[in-house]
Amino acid sequence: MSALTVLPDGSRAESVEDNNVLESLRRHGTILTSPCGGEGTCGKCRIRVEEGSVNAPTPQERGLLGAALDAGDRLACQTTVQSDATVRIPASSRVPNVRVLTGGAPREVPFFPNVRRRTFTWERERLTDVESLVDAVAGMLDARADLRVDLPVVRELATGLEYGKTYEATIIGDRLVAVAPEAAAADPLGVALDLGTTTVVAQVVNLTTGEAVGTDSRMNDQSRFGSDVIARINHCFTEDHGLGELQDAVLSTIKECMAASGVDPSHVYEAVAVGNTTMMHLLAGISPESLGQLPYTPVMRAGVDVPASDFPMPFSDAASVHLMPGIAGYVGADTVAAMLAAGYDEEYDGVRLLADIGTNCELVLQRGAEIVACSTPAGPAFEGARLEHGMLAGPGAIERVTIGDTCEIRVVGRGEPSGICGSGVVDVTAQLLEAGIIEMTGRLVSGEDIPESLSDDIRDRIQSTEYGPIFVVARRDDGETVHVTQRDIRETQLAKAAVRTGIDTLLHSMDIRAADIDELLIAGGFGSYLNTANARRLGMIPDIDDEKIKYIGNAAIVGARLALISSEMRARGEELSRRVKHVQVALLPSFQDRFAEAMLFE
Amino acid sequence: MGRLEELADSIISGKADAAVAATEGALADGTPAAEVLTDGLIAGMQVVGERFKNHEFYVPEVLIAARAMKMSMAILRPQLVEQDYEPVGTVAIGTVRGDLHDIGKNLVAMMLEGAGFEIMDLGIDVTPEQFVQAVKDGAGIIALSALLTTTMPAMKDTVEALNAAGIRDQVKVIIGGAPVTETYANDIGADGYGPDAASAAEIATELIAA
Repeated sequence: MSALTVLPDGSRAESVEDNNVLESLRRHGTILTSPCGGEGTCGKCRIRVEEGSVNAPTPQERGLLGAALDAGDRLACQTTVQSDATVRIPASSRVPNVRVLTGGAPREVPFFPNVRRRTFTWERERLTDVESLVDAVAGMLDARADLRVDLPVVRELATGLEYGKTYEATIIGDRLVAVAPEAAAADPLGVALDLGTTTVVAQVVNLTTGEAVGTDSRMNDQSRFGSDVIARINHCFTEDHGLGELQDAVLSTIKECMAASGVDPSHVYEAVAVGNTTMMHLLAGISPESLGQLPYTPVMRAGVDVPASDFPMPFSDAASVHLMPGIAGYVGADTVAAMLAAGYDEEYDGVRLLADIGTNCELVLQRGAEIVACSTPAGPAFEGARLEHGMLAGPGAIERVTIGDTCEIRVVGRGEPSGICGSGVVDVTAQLLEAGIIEMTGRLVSGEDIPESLSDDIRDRIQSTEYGPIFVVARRDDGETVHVTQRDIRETQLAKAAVRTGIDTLLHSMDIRAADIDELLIAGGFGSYLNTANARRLGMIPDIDDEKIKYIGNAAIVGARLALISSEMRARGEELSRRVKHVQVALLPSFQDRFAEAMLFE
Repeated sequence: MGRLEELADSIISGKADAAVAATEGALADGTPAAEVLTDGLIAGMQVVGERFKNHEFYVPEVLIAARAMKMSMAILRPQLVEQDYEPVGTVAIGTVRGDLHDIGKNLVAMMLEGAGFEIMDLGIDVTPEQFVQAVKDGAGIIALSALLTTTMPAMKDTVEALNAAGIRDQVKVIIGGAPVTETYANDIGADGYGPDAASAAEIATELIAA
């Protein structure tokens, strides 16, 4: 192994096993342009070796670099180091970075989508000395040697091109999928898809600029077959065409998202889909039956590329859909994506914990380069489901609650309250606890047990019904109330206990104390807001200072977008999926006892 | 308040220390262990069960109560053995094959114990064969728990395994768990269905008396 000093910044990289410079730099996080895939045919990954011993130039380099070789210029893909060396990288060889807002710290990632536009001029002279017109195009594009050309493009080449004119080629990975006169086609688009059990999010991205051009989210149409993944899996078990129905349902949701986004779907050349493992199976039309029983082993885990026409999805005929890899039966591609958004592909100097809180709660703990992940069943309370007046965080949802002499609320969109969302549930439960209206066991007090210190307004809000006591959070103009029931509190206890037990078990597995956590990243469906003091009061998260806690929103969709605009990030996601250690917490003998204990409020 | 009422109250409120003191006090007063069990401990657990059924109590309260019950039981058990006390019956309980959900099954086990049954806890992911073996080992009732619709079919498999082993008539089968229904219980030929832990104990008591 040799040390590489990388100029101009002077950072140090270690050479990889075969000492190839392109790959060594990539591991170091310095990504060079290499549209040919490191074959030595495009001449883009030019570097200058300033010190150290390297291999002799290859025939490809002699052809492409000529006299520049004498000055020390080389192609990184063709160069292997034989001693410690210093290499200088011109800005033109680097893949440009693009800045992506993540909800947490923005990330600078190499902008290198799998879908690329390249121009070429159709020249008669270049048609001699090649075996075929297809080979000629590949040569004109400086593309990778294994470039495959889709049949419709081949047909186009046979008759459609004029000598001397410039054309734009659209390439997806190693496939040339379209050729059009220069500037005739709109920028290629990509779609990041986050397939949640409850909600589907589609974000359309311009693959020339890296900018998001539209986002739509809506209820997963699979919901009519049951609200949780087990119900969906069971539908496949019990109905003859269950799997097909579920696949059709999610595809129609994606279609609706695309229609709402207002873009021309024929310009979409690639989609990157993430979701929990069951959602990924259903999307791919793979029976998820093995996920419904111990030991919850998924059928597939690795990332795959599928032609969009196979589903079908409403994109360009040539489009490809990349299904991101997952980690385990209940730690899916959405978690891998969230990890990318949170920067888990890089070593972290300290300890950090990512909690993606949905119906299933995924937790990922990182110390240095070491990463451990698990999942726990939180139930849908924090997504507002299965509560008397629960709803997703959208217009009309109560998202903040403060209880003092009266009960103050904030409503998404500022209109009349029509229900309560996850962050509101966290608030109201913690505030009721603080006011002594909920006991340590989670019981809503009634009658004589109601603390006398409470104001008349608050006392009036504690009402008894034939279904037990309720607390009225808001009174609507139409006379209806938005309230929480005893059963709602119980659902919240289940949810917070699941999250907390998962966190404690994961910390325990790495022998880390809660006080050692430098950063707690909370992702999920709480809307735009989570009161961390109230989350702590519930015991949902351990006692961690506010400045260490960041709410990062929907990290999965951000990660899917990163994989869409950066092949490098996609590769890192693949690496992460293989490297992360998975702990099956529910199988640990102590889990159930801890879970039950954690339902209490301290 | 009498000692046994005190015991029942401390079980209901989950005060383990008070439960131990009341148990020891009652025995010291010369109350027969069987009476302490029935009128103190079981009476207390019955109230816990009712409140659980009415959603007044939730998993944590039942667990705290059960902890107090266990401490009291530890003192009573040697005395019960000495006084030749016969448990109401023996129940083999387990979460069915493919399922690892433990909490509901444990609650039922506690309620059954609180109703005077001897418990054989087979744990989670219990195969039909293991249930068959438990019957051969003397269980008069088997109690099957499943929390997933995807693992419910293992209940049917277990009943069929009992039929195949020719011992179906020696045992009563009760089933329960969130997705389980009375209709399903009838469909697979179970003897009883418990919509909650307290009802499960009541049904077991009825079945054993029948």
